[in-house]
Amino acid sequence: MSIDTIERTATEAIPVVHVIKGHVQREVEVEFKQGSGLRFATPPIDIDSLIWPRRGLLPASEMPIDEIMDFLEKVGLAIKADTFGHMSEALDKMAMTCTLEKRIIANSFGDLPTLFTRKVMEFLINQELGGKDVLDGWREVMRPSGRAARTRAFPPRLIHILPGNTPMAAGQAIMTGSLTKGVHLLKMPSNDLFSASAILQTMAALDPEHPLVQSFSAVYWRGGDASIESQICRPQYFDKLIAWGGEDAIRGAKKYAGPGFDLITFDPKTSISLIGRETFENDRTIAEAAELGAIDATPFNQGACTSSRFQFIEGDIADIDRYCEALQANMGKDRHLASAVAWRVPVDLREEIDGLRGLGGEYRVWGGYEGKGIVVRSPEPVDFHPDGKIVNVVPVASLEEAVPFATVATSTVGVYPFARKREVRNLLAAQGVQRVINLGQAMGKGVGIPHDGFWPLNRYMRWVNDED
Amino acid sequence: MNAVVAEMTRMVPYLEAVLISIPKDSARYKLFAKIAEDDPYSTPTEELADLRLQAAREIFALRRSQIELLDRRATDMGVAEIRTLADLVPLMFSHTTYKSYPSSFITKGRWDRLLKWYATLSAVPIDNVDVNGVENIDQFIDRLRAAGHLAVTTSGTSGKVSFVQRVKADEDLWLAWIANHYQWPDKVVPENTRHYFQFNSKVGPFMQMAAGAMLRKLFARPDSTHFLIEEPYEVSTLMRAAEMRTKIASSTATPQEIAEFEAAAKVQAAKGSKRLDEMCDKILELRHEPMLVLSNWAPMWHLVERARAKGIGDGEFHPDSIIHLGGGRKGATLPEGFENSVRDFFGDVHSASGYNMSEQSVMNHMCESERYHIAPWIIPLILDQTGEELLDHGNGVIEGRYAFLDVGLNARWGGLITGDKVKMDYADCPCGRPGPSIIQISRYADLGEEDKIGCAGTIEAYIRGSLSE
Repeated sequence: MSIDTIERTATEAIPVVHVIKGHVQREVEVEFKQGSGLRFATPPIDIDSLIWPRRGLLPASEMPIDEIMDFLEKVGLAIKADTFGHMSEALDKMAMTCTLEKRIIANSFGDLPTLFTRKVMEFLINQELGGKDVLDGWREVMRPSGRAARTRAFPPRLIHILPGNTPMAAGQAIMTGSLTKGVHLLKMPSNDLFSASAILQTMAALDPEHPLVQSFSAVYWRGGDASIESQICRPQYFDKLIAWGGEDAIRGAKKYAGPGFDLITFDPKTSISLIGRETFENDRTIAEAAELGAIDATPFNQGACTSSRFQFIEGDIADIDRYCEALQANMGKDRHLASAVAWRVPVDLREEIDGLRGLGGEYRVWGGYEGKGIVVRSPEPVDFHPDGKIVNVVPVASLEEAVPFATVATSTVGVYPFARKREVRNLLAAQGVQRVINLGQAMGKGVGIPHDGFWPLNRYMRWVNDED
Repeated sequence: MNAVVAEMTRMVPYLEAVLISIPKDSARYKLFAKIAEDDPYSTPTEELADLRLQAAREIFALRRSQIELLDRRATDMGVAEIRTLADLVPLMFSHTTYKSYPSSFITKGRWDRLLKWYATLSAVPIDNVDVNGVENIDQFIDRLRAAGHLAVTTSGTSGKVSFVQRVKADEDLWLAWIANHYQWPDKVVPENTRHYFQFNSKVGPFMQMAAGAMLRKLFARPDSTHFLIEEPYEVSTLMRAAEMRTKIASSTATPQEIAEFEAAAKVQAAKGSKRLDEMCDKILELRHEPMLVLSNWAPMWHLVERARAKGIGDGEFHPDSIIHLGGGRKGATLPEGFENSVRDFFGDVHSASGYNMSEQSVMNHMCESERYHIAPWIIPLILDQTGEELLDHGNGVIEGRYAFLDVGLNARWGGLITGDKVKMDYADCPCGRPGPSIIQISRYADLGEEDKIGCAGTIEAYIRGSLSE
């Protein structure tokens, strides 16, 4: 039994902190148990405390956006320095409940402060809303009819069903949410019970009376718990529900969508790579493509929607096999957000791969089941979903031939060499793809450009008119 | 064969066929010979454990030389011999193993490749199978059968079917077990005296249909057999659903095609529903005479509802009747407590419970204390949730993932890890028999990994409609 397992079977349920509009609740009462045996406990939930009554302006509604960004910059610095100790507390607890190694979680926490920098926030506002003016006031336009109209990006009331595969999601929800000046109920997932509340605690420690602190709550309830969800998911309390991935989460949220209560989904996705024959020009290009291919396949040990799972490649089989071998070796390295050795391949995937190993010829497998990474070459995509550092390499005659393998569930397509993006980007977009990237940039996504085919901040806002 | 064995097998129907090809001094022989005992579950715990370990050693040595995949696994995992049961753990296959072929082998008609894959899992040579001219999966299965490979398939929700190798010797063992211990502990002697009702196709490559044929041979009146579907079951039907899913996923199915597919499924369901009513009415008409009913739970709930509508009460069935219920609910929505309602409806008939799956040689029976005892030649292993480690049971109760090595399988490796979460007691059972016995069974899949949300997902989430239900 590893040390890791001993920690997880500790007799005490791990306490989860709730933050309600700046009030930190630590007295746990409700216990949850997961299939893995992990137990955690949360404070009881008073559903009245989860809403902001619809009377008058919301707490941060009239605060100038520059002052909001001033505060957020301080938040970023406090997260970075962990001034109040909340971030390291969250990190320690998360290491106990999460399948990722602590180093990776620590690296993700380390990435958080960049979100709270002025440059990033202003870029986001300019890109999505066309400037700060529409947040602070009413932007006037003259209409063809000769009558003026004024529009404001009005502060919304939002519920965020957060994902748990990276703490960046909590950071992004809080930063972007702050810029809306609205109110935000963050529903934490069981695979990240700590980062949203850690950031909110840090904000509350900086200034408990700050309007932004009054604008956020982070709590856990079991997803689908109708005694909570069906009461609060009403247009009288919230305008929109934002479901950050997870099929079950989206199907659960769908029940409540209706007039006055919108559903915004960041859909669950799969990602692929297209690799051109230029890869085989020389040893350097093979090494480069195989390194970039591994960078895209491995984030969070392939737990992200942008992680490449299928790689379509031009070339003859002997060359492609050289790529596969190099790719598999590169997947077994420690990276910023990936472990050299992840977890053992689960039985069912092992059986799928073993079944193919025996076929020979068109099927070849590199790597073992210890978690360093596996590459399976096959004449067409395998029937199973490659996961936990498993890449399926599929030879194709041309990149264009690979396009039909992209579907409405494909998020990101990495291309090598980069210049060949132009050749396939329109065709891929027509298939339903949302991002065409330089191979190696799967995790390069930042705020201020569209996400999942739309402008998130723009869509969070309530666009209200004053018309002459 | 010595005189004692000859005498024993004469008295014990079908046992001779099981024992004839097995070395007499082997542990396997001794385990199978327990079929001759009045109570096959009475072997003292330690004696049984020793025999099972010895049998595991024998079968591993034998199968390793026959099954390519097992040999490779043993080499990969560094298992040269079975010293303790823990050495078996890395050698377990799973349900997935038996459908690990690329589905394109079927959709593109590459039967030679499918056969090659099948060969890597088979303990008997399959080079006597001719796949020339095969046009669909049903014909492929027919060719296997024509060459003596009694392959059974199981269907998954994805539409991908598994292929599980069986040969005649497997049927012999099943027959011997049923002929001598059917409905244990309240055993039923084989006589062809019962009306026979089977709630699926008469013939087809599913274990329930194969079992049905053997049950008929032992218990049914030849003049009164009734089937929900007379025509042979076609696996191709399942494949069509899978093909439609693929077309929808790749955005190449037209709305009209999807509509027609769904309409055809509704017509088929309506036809099935009419026949279901006829079968139920026939059962109700003959309820005062002995019968054998082979069914899943859902049709039996339908029967109860139909009987109630006709004003027929509980417990009117002939006491020699056998109600053989199996399988899961297969997605049917059934009311709370329906199992008890069904049992009450049939009343005092033979309706033994068992712990069974298509991948096992025979059924494990439930005793008077409502615990499952395990057939002598099936070696139970309780593993941790991930299935990687054998749990140390000491002499008490443990809970974990159920795996087993079934040394009664003649055509493939009998090691299998399941999705079942099992609570097992290694001490003696309250019924008085030696342990181990199973106290409780649930599914890991049903327990869920609650509420974990990530952005990664597959195309499955994007396919709406009856196909994904």
